[in-house]
Amino acid sequence: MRVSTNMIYDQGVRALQTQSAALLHTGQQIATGRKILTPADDPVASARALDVTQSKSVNKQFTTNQGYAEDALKLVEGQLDGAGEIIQYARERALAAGNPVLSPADRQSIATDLRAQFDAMLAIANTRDANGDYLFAGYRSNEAPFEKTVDAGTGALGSSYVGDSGTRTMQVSSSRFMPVSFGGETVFGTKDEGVFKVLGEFIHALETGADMAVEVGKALDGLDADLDRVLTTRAQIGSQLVEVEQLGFIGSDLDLQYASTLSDLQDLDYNEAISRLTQQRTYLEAAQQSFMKTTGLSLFNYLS
Amino acid sequence: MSSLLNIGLTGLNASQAYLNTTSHNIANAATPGFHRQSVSQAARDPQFLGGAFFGTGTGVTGVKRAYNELLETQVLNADNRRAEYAAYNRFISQVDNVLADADTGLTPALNEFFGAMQSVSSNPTNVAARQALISTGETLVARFRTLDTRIGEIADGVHTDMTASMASINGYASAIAELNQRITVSQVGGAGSAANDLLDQRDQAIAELNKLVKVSAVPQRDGSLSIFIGSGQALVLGNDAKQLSIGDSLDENGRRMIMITGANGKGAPIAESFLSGGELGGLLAVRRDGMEPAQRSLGLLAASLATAFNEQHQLGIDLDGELGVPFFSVGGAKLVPPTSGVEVSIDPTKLAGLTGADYELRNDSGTFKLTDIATGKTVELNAGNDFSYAGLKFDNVDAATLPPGQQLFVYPTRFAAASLRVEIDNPRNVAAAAPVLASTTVVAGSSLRVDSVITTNLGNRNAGQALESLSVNYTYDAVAGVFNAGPPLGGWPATLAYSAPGDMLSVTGPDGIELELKISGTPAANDVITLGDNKGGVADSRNAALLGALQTDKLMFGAGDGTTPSATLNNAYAQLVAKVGSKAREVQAGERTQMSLLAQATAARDAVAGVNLDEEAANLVRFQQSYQAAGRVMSVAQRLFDEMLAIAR
Repeated sequence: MRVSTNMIYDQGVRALQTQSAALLHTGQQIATGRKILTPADDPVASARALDVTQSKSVNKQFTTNQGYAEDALKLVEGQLDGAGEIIQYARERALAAGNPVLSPADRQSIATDLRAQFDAMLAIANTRDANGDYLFAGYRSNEAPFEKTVDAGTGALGSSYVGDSGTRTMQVSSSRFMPVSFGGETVFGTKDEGVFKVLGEFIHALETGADMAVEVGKALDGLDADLDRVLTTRAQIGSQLVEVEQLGFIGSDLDLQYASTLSDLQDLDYNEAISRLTQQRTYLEAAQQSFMKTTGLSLFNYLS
Repeated sequence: MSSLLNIGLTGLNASQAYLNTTSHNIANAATPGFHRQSVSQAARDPQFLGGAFFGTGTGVTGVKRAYNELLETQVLNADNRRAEYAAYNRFISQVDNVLADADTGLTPALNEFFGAMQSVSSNPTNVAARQALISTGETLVARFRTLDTRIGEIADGVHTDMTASMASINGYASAIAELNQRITVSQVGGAGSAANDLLDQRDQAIAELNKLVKVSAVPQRDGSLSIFIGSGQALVLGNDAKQLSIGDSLDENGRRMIMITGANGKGAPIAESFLSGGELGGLLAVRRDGMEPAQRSLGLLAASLATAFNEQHQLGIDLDGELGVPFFSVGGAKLVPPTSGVEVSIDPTKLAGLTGADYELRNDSGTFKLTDIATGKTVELNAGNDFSYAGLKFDNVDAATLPPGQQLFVYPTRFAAASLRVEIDNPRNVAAAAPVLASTTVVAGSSLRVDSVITTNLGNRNAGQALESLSVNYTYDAVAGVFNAGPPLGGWPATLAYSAPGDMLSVTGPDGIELELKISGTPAANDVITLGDNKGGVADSRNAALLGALQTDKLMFGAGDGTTPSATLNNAYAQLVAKVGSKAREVQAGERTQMSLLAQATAARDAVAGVNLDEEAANLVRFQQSYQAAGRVMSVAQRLFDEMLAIAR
């Protein structure tokens, strides 16, 4: 084949260009640690990486929500713990009040004690969380859910519920909306039944000197039912806390999985890349030397 | 003796011609487009003398250039494709980089926005979380606008390059026309053969023109070449060159039309399809198949996000118990001309049918035809109102708004990304709560439960209104197996049938409000379900949860009627990235292929036409020697003549 002088230069320069471009590409990969520098390098993997990034972000958000849910549930549990103790204490005082040897003054002092317990219970029922929301108000968390009432006829203490039946939920996994609030009516009962009515009527009985044998029995039955309600809710919270913990494990497994998928899609194999860099450097140097040697040849060097 | 002298002289002349041509080759070794020249030589006619033919020396019959049409065409073809790919690649790779960049891409902004939505869902009363939602919403729309603007800037770059490219095309066209004339003249003067170097110059001008647009050259008898560009548009005829320019009027795609102006000064629009190949062809293609689809996809994404989010947001109530107002605003369909009276809007109920396509709506003698500008697919539209097609709703389509023969261009979502805004600035107005609350009052032993009540349609109730006076009680009638309403009914249905646990009941209430009520458990006689408004339900985040779910809900790329959506917002964005990435990859590979084809074709051509300096050096030595030898012949003749004179003396 006939060779023109331009071909020798053109081909040499083209080889240098190609080798330099390859070397630069590998250098950029090493500098960024990514094997995909632009989507054009691997369009399918790039698109998939975007989807996995979203899945990872959503999963992370669920993990955050699990934290919120756990905090909220523990707050309710703490309050219910207090409510349980008050009911237990009131039960003991009710038993004590049934002792026939007690004087009216003694019963009066028990009544005074129970009035304080009534207020303590009301305070628990009207607890607010860090956001200032009433815990037991359902969705209507701006208003105190329990109002202290005095029966117009008998003068007995009581309470009415002004919250609603809404249950706040948090999304703790893609398919699980976990209840994190419990309606006041579920935990403390309504105007017509529940801890406030039981306590209020018993205090009234103590203060008006009603038949203690009947009243104590009624109060104990009522308080037992109230305690049941509180304990049922606590049991639900307990199992939900276990669930949150398990979801946390699943979530961190998933996070790891997504991170590893992303890494497979995007990250550079440094061993391979550095060996490639060395190889490409050798090629470039060879191309440079070959260029200098071939272009240095000319018959004109020998003409005089 | 005189013949010897003459023979020597012819040899001297021929050697001189060789030496001149060799020097010319050496001098032009690096001249672009130069073809090495060679002298053709033939023995002169012999003389019959004394019974035999005697040679009379040599003669130069011409100087030819080493030119092979096939090899030249191969180079031109490869260079044309290479230039086209290179222009395409120069711009598509910029779009590619913009879309995928972790800092400028859409995915991170979408994730942050929906993350903030989740935070509101977990803490609906927390004003900071609500403010964060608005702020990340601002970031998201700014990201949309940035992407759109950036692609717009890249498109401006395409336009600038097109202008420059056309200026060069015009320059080469004029140069070729002028060379045509000079070659015609030289051919007449040169007894039918044209000057090699002029031919080289014209070929080089064609080669340069060919990098800008596909060229075909048709030789004419007078030695001129007629130049046609693209798919047959005449650019140079004889010594008359036409000029390309970008006009002011817009075509159906909203692009400024390309004009071609002849010697008479009259311009005519020329279809883009006529200008294929080369840099200009690549620029037109990247604008048509790269930038514009990317902008349309972004617009479609922006419109889909805004529509879906607004629809759900308007189904919720805010901290003041008022129905949600649109969270985002997005510009409507652009119509050209804008004031026909025809109305085109996105149909939120068929959102997944939206495609991002642009349309031409034409009154074809009373038939309204809607044509997808990109694909050419045409459907017939019913005149009048409320015609739905591909996620769009057409209103006021009649002969009054669009008289026969008239047309209207519709760009439904193309400019949506640029016009996307967040409309809410007060955190209280985030409608995180659901408007309706259902509760139960059950008798002992009943397991009736309301699992969910989802508001799917607000009927006549409007955004920003308080949703009040909805309350109704449904009491279970165990004998009939239905829930009986009221009294009073207040616009609610008199009975709710309940057949099996887990039933989803669709209920239409006052003012056309539609609910989906999911009930489970087994009801007992006199169980009561109460439906009521949720005013004051500030800790309710049911609507926030539904808004958050839009991140992973499939909303886009459904059938034409809006059913069977197949992609989430992020899927759709990832698809755009993959599409642009694949295109960039394809043209990068194409450019590499064409470069190597060009290298091969150039090598093949240069093997024939290129100058080899070693060869020329050898020729110098060779023709120097033949010159010396011819000179020697003449000196021998001189000496013989002297001898003769000496004899005569």
